[in-house]
Amino acid sequence: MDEGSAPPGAPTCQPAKPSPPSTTQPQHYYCLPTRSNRQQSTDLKLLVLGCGLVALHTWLVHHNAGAQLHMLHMVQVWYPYVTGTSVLGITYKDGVLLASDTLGAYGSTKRYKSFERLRKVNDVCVVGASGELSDFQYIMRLLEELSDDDFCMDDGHHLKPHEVHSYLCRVLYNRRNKMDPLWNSLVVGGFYGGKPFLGTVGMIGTNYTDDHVATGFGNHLARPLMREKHRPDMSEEEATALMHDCLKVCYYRDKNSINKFQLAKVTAEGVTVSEPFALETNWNYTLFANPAANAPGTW
Amino acid sequence: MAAALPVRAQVPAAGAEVRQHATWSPYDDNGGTVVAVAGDDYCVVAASTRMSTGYSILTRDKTKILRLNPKCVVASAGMQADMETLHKMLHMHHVKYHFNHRKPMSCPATAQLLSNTLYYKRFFPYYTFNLCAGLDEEGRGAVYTYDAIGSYERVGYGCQGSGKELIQPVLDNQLKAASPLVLPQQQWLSSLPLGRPCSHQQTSPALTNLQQWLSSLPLEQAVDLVKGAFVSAGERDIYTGDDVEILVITKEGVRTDRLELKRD
Amino acid sequence: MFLTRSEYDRGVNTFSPEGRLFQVEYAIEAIKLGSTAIAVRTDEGVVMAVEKRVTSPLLEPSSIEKVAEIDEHIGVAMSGLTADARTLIDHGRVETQQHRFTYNEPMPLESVTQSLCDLALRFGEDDNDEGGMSRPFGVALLVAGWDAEGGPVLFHTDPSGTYVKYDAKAIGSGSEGAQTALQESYRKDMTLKEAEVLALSTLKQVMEEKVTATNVDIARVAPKWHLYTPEEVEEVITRL
Repeated sequence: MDEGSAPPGAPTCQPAKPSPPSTTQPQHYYCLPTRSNRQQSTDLKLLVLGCGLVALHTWLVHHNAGAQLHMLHMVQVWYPYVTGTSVLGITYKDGVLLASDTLGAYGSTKRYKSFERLRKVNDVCVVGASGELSDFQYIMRLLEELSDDDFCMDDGHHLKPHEVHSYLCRVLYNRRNKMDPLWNSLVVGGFYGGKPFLGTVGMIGTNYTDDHVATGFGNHLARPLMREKHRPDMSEEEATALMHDCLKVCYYRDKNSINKFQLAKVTAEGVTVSEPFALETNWNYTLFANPAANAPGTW
Repeated sequence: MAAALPVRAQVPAAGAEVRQHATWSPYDDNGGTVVAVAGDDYCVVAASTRMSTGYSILTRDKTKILRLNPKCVVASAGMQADMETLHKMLHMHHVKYHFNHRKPMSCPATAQLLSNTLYYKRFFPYYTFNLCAGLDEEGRGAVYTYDAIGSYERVGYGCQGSGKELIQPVLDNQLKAASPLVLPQQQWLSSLPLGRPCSHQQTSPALTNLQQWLSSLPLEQAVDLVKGAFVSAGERDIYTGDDVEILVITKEGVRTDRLELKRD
Repeated sequence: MFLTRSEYDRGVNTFSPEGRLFQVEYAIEAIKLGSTAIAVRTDEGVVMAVEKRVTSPLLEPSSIEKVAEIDEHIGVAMSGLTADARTLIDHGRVETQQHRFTYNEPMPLESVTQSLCDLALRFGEDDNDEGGMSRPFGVALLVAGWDAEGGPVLFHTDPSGTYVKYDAKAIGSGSEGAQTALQESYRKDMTLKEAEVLALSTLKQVMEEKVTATNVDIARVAPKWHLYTPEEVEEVITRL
């Protein structure tokens, strides 16, 4: 669930491009293939998968199932290029709040600064994404197709938040089964039947629902705050204030984040995704100015 | 000494590929412990509700027990996504069985089905560690224990998951596993014929012995033992904590109980 | 029935204006040409007795199979086109073994019967090239078994894919007379021994030849399948 925080391989590995045959430089396969030349590497993918099965078999012979399961690591997997960092979510008295910044990072380059990572699915549901942003756009297309079908049916029916969550869990789990994961951790927020819904799912399909959720670094940085201060009966003002605190902490400590956030709100009145905003920050804390103040001998 | 070189000193040779990221794995261990104890006419099934990844807690309230019917449940620890898929699969099979045969699936039948389900995915296993528990067709407590690829065995009590190493020996000690290897067979383990005249299920002598001995274990004592085991595991296993969901399965139905553990 | 014969008896998928499927009805007629088979259910088990038409002294009677084992706890007696029954029996054997493999328990009798009837109805399907059927089965079955819960059960199936539960049932050429005889003499509290006598004596009444150990087969499911040896049949004959 940490894909947002792991430094992606993109900037250092050259995307393999169709180089002219005269190039003297040997073409290393190791160079990560771009998404466009997936097709030609399928053969190798199958071959390597075959080797993986043999290795797995050997592993099963030698171990009691239950030890670490790393036997499939030689399978070719694509790693993310443009990523978003944490998404946070909390429930409150009248609904749910989701929050994230608007950065699309290319490795540690702040590549896209206005990428909206919180999207409305329908009147009762929003989805927020961290991880590979192109995969998120693909996921949104899947959800839009479903919503379009609902619209065309014109029977007033629409996907409920828990259905969207369940659907996304299956999509992500299926792709991990194909060894071709969608590199995202998603947060689903919604309000239906008078109750808030808040759930999350990771890139291998692990999922849960809770009163507060956070992906990636947010799970380390924001959730302790949420665990301390969150109550299900918070007012919107209290919830917003808590969210701001969480965002600030994430921004202070997560280098792959920027001070440009969006808040999405789902209540009985529907879905609103705010305009991007900045939070007031203060970098003059003693420990920011002199991190070694209380740790003699460090630098 | 070369062997003592710190990791940072191992500079890759020029031109060598530098791995930029942790290798992706389709598996994760979300921890959790499940325990089941069979009695003469009851079965106690318990599972911790914490769901973790690495050193992080993801949520404190995630059930690991699939309740198929009032006489059979499946409890699983391991990877949450695989567990959920497995549970959904079993649930679907159970519903289909109910339609086709007009009766709920018995515990021994579920046990065999679970084994097959796991075995069919032998080359890309469900990373789950399961117990199937409930009452058998004679109304006696039944516990089946599995490995990830479907080997299974009927036992008198079982434990799976991250707290297994802490709890299993305690259960062994307290419940005195009647080892079939102990020869000559102990007098107090001598078997009595059990079961109805027309039973199609074969019951091994070792199991009969164990069942018989377990019949002297009162329900309340079994529940206390399970609770104690979880509290103890919660002390040392970081993946066992928050809450324990306890089911007591008897012919009257399923009673649920909840035990709070430390949240650290 | 032959009075209403019309063009509507060609296709298996075409109803007549009166709402009948003639091919199915003809198939049911075919059973009435078959040798008689009788099954009687008691609390101790189910007994089946069938007539074997030994049409020539040169014919080896033991090669005529009118009763068959589906699984340890299920047997069938058949009447009609017994070759068609092979398909049904093979299907039943696969289904019961499949059930044991998946659930480690004997398959419930009604489920087996349902599965046989599902197969019997496949004549209506369109896949005539592979595995498809061009006509209904011309055979009726008496499916006798012992359920883990519920004990002994007896079902009757016919070419229309209908199945009904019975205490005692006769099928085949002598079925009408035999069914009446069964109705008069059947009691719920019969023992298995009494059922053997009831089944065989009823069969005797409708058979043209004298009953011997070679021209009848007796089988029981109580609770396991057992095909009587000639000596055991002989012993039942002495009790008639």
